Amino acid sequence: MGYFFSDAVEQALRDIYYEMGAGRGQEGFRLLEEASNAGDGDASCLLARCLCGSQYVWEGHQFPEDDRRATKLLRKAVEQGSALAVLVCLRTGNMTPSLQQKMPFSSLQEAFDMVLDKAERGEPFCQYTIGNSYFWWDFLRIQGKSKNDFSSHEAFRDYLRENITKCEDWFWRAFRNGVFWGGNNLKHYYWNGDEDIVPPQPEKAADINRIGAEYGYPNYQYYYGYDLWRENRKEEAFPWMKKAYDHGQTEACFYVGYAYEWGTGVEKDLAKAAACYTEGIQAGKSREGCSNRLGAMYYNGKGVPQDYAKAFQLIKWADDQGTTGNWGACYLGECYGYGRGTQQDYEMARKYLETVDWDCPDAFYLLGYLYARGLGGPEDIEKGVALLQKAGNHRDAQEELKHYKKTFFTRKWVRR
Amino acid sequence: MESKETQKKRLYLKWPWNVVVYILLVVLLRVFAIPFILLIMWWNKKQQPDGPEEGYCLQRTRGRLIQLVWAALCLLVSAAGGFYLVFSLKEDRSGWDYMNYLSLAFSGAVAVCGLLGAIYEGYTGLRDALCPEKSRLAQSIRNQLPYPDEAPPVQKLFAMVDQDLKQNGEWFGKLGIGKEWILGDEVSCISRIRGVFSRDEIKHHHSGNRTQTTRILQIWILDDRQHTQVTDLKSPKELQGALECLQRRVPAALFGGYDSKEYHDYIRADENQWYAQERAYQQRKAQFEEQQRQYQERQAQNQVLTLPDGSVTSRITARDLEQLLIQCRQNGETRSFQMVPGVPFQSEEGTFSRLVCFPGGMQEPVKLVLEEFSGSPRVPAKYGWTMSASLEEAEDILRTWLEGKVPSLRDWTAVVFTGQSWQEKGEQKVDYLGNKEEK
Repeated sequence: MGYFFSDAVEQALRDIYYEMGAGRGQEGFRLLEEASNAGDGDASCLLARCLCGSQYVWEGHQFPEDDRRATKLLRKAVEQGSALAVLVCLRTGNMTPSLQQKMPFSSLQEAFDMVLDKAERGEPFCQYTIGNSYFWWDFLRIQGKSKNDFSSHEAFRDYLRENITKCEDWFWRAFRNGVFWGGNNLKHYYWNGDEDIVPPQPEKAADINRIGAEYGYPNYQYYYGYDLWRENRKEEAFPWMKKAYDHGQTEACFYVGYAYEWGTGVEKDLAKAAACYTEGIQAGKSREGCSNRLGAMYYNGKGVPQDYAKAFQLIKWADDQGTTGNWGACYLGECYGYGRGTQQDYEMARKYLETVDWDCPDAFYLLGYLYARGLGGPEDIEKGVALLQKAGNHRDAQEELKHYKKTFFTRKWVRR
Repeated sequence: MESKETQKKRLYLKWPWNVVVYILLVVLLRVFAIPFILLIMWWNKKQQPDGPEEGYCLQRTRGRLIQLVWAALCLLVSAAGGFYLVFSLKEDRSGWDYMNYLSLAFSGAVAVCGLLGAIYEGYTGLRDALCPEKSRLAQSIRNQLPYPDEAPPVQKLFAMVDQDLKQNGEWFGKLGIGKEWILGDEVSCISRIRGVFSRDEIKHHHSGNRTQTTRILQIWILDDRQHTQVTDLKSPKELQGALECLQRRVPAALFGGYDSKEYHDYIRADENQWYAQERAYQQRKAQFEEQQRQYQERQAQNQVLTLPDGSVTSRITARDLEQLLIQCRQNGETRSFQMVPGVPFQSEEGTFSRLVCFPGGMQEPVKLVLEEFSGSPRVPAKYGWTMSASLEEAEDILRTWLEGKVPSLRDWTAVVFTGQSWQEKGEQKVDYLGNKEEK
């Protein structure tokens, strides 16, 4: 028997929460299943959380999501006598009056006190659960209080403030001791405050990502890396992103791939970049970004053997999601214009190339060519020549311009 | 469905009856036999459009019988010299000056040389025609092999060259250029060619007041043993065509004119110089192969291959397609794979935008569907063609399509697409899994 819970549950807590980057999540899950089947209520409670999706457990573990099974397990956990499960049920809205009657505790307060005792003795998950009870106002039901029990609105607000603010300390304790969710709720608490009872304190949230990253949470390593990336400190971002990636935080695939592709913070390695993007696509994280970048690599034959069909498929998919703006416009325009990786379609080529709003001589040349020759739409030599000229020193554009001349009197561009 | 053209029975004079007939004609009609002989030769050639039945090589060695004519001429000259010698010896030579003796010696030399020439021409002509295994042509093939002493029998040697010429041969007069072999007056192995030199010279001969002009058109092929093989051609067009063809087939070889500096550098190269030339050749060859590889890669990128699992690639090689087809058949794959070119392929028979292949099981034929281009990439095809092919035929068609060519539609059936199925001429509907349903 462990210090706070059964051996199996304590080991599972380490595998799933406290040492979440160690890659033993599935082992922890299996331990919980076995213990739950053996009648361990705490195991059933934690197993239920594992099945509730990314709002309850780190998605890097890749646990299956099954709400119905989770609900059943939670009810079972309460019936099996898990105080932890009582508080979790309150939080998830599963503590129905009938379940409350079935629980082997005289009151919710009794269950709360049991968990509080473990929290005070240093159990991180219990610290987090106690913090949640205060943060989400579950203490009202636990203590059996309501607005009517107070003499004035102010007294009620004071009561609320007094209890809600207790969450801060418990979340910090949980966060330091191995439950990253504590950090998530702290950020929420600092950014938003709590209605008009607790004012926001965003300055206090500023360092949470860095602290979480330093504590070794893979998701916090990713968050902190992303903060640095956004501040254009890409070289500093790489080590954190790489740690997150190595620990299984698949959102980092794009950034690690990008760093390898452009040599920011690490030596350029196109093959590794392609591997990271591929992993990102397979994991379904930063999928559009990874898809675009990998598509570009296939298009240019960098880091992977050139393959227009794959390039077109990847960039078109990302474009179809509608979240990457006109990023792939030039590539797609060229694919359609030259029949690379798809059937040649001048109309589509025009459509995409029209949206290119950055200095892209290749796009200007091709669009100018299509306009001047009347391909994929009406002929417009004036516009075509203007685009060909915009392409600057583009060799093909220079050659194409030789086919047109300005008339002497009207000063219009015509075909030679 | 059209049936394959059946082999017609063709009438022509076979060896050795053609020679017998030619001799009879000459005996009967003398000089007037020539137009008849030419007519028979033309007919014989016309009746064998796929090349001589006995093969190019054997035809070439048998053709050496023409040397008998030269032997006869030599014999005639020898006889004339002999007669002059004999009659001169019988004359009274008391008043002879040195010129008479000189004529006597000359006639004697002519008689002897003529006789030797006749014997040589007659012997080699008969040897080549009747004993092809001892012919110059067979010997030249043996010499090109890595181990000439262990060369296979002459039938196999000739078959090797004939097959290449039949499948890949381009002809420039009597010079046939295949992918591996060149048949001229002798045979050259293309992989051993290091230099090709053309000779186009006009020679003037002055005798008395007359000037005789002869144009020499020859192709000189130098191999990796510094051996030269010379073939005479009839026209500058043949020479030019042969040179262009050889430039395509052996791009790494050195090309130049006969008697040019390059020619002499090659011919007179000592061991060290030859080694340097060989190294330069190997570098050029590697460079051309790399260019070829890059070209093929660019060509292959012009199409999208969609595999049965829906994944796509533009990196397609003929080998990949063969393996894919065989693998699908082994696995009993029911789904199709398809190849769509970026720009539809055009041929005399139309414009085509997609080739769909239903591999079928190991014992079933491969079903192929060729879609005609609707005119817009966004409008589905309405018409197409379909055929059931053997594995080898299907591989050929896929390879042809990969090369950007439309396969011959001779054995295909026209179909009309209706949604997810197509309607054959035989009133049967076929869905996209290739299953037929009776109407």
